[in-house]
Amino acid sequence: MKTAILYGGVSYQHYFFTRKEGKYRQRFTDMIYILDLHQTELRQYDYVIVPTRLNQDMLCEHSEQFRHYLDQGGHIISFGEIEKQWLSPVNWKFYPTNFYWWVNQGADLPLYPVDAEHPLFQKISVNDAKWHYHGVFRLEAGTGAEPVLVNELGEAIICVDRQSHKGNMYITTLDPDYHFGQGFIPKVETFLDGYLAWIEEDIMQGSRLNK
Amino acid sequence: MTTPIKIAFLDSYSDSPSRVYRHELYCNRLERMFLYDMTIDRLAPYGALIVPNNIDEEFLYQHRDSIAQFLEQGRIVVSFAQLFLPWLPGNSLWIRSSLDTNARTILAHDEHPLFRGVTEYDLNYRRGVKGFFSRGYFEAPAHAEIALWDNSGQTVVYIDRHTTRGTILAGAGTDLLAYGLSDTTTARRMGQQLLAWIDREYNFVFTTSIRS
Repeated sequence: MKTAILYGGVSYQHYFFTRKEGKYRQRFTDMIYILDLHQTELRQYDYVIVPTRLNQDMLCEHSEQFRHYLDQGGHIISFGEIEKQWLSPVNWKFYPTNFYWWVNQGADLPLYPVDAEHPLFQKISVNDAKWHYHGVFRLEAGTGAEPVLVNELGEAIICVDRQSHKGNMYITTLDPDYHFGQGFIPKVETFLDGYLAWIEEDIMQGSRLNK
Repeated sequence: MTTPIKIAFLDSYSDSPSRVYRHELYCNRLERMFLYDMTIDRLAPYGALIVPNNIDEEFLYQHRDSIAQFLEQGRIVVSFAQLFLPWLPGNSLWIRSSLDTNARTILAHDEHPLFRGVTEYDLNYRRGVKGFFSRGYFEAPAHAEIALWDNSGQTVVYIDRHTTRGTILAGAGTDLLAYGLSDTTTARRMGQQLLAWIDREYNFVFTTSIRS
């Protein structure tokens, strides 16, 4: 696979790429600096990752580029917030973040698999996804998105949209890339490795079905 | 009475009502400057520049001459960045602490005007969770004033009045403006004490001939 990840020049991303002998720098073919995105032909990549905490307004300037890429069959993997309409259709809702739930014995962060047999949960446990989240995706009736992991109200924390474009959108409100870069919450590495492995298998499976 | 000076908050993230420079404690003092619009001419009206951690350091590095020139004019740069590129004069880049979060403590410094009345608990814990404030340290430049240490003797915040004709305050990821805002703890004092310190520092530099 030829893959790319966007890069905003912020420190957490630098440390994301350099921690643990640079395992995540080596995992993706190219880094695309955000100011170079306009002159990058995305079609060459099997998937493009949009990491956590990139400037949402600057991403909006590329919404047409993303839409075109998806309509050509490219896949987008997005982490963290989608506060503005740079990716469509997505309905983000912010929630104040509960960073502290795990301090108290007996407390839990309520997250549930929609289908416990889903291939993602062959690679990670639900517990691997439990640190905190900053928002959810609200999936309206008739939406093309399939929820994979939800909160106590059924709002999506992880979902995949295979309907709206020729390519897929794998979107999660979780921010494992940020926390790996910052060097805390060790379980994010387990999550990230399993999550990316599931997505790559899903993409490969889709490619075989389309042949 | 110290005259308030104009302070720019340099930003490469999206503007929104929830950003720290729009908080009620700071909105009348901080003016957002979009990083990609920064030029030495646009910096001219400001006496101080605050650089948050979530900033595009690649762009800052390409435009490091503007930062250096701003400082050579006797002005103040406050940085909370975990620097990985050398855009800040005298700084030798952020180093991740080898101490486990639970073993590391940022030591209180009640005698310092930036940290007066800020307890050690509030510097280190937020609702029982440790590690939000800082995960690393700097090797401070020669002759720098150390404003905050950790329990292994490493520098967490320093003030450098020697590398340039201006003043540099560098914190190792320590967001003195935002860290304390989520609760009513003594950590909330840091933001206002930082703004008062900037005013005093600026007026001190311009009313003395030490570095002129």
